[in-house]
Amino acid sequence: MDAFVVTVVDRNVKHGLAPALKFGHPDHESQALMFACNVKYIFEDDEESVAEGDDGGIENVVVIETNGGLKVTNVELISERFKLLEYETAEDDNHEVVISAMSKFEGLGEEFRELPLERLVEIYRLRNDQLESLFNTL
Amino acid sequence: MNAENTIVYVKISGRTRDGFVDPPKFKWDLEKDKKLWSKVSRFGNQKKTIDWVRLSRDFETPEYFLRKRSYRLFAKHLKMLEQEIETKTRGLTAGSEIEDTDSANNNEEFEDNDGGEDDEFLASEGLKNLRSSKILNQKVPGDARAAESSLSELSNLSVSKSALEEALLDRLQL
Repeated sequence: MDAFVVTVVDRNVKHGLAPALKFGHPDHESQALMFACNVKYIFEDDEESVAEGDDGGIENVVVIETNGGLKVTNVELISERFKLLEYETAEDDNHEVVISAMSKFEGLGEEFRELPLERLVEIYRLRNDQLESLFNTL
Repeated sequence: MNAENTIVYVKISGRTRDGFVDPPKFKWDLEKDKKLWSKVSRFGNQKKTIDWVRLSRDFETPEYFLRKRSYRLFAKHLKMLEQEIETKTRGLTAGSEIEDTDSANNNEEFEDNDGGEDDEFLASEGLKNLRSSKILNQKVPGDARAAESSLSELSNLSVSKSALEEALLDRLQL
């Protein structure tokens, strides 16, 4: 059985405000892309002691449910900082799960106060859209 | 969200572990992703194969992850190139269409001009031929020479006509 690769894309508008990548990396979402590389598997015959371990600093828990054919049937994100928006598996690989999430809104910081009015209006609109999409997931 | 503060549980229904061992926890971030791309994107120029074992050791990351991530990066890179080619091709096609239209218009103009010149040439030649024709000279109205010649020929004809009339009358013995 192939191991799962789980990536999380943060759709927060703050990532779009950062300067664009200059090194020709093909993944334009890299700045908002996170790699969840601590994956534990729970099989039918596993005992319930799987959750035990040295995971003291855990802030986010992702639960991926699959059927016997390893097709993803449900994804859940338990976190105080992130909210699950949607998930999808790669068209060519069932074991690659891409989760779209929204990180907690924060102040834009002092440097953004210097932005022109048009850009601030654009950010305002984007955040409104994001709030609406968040609301739709509730 | 990273390997330190995030844990993923994959719950597999209807299957037993059958000796499957959970892969180890490892760290992967944008810096490593950049390094991986800089290494694998050179594949094909000088290196004919990728030493996954060595990469796995260097990055302290399981081989399966490096392979899948590299595949994904290549796939995205190809998609970007495809879009770029499509954009440029569209630009070229639009440009050539404009050029074609222009050249077609020009050709039409040239054809018209050529045709006009040819027609003019043919017309003038034809007119010369027509004017040099004795038969038509007789029938071209308004032409002084033609009129003179036709008058003289008419007079000749009228003489001939009189002679014929006389001969006929003679034959008929009238």
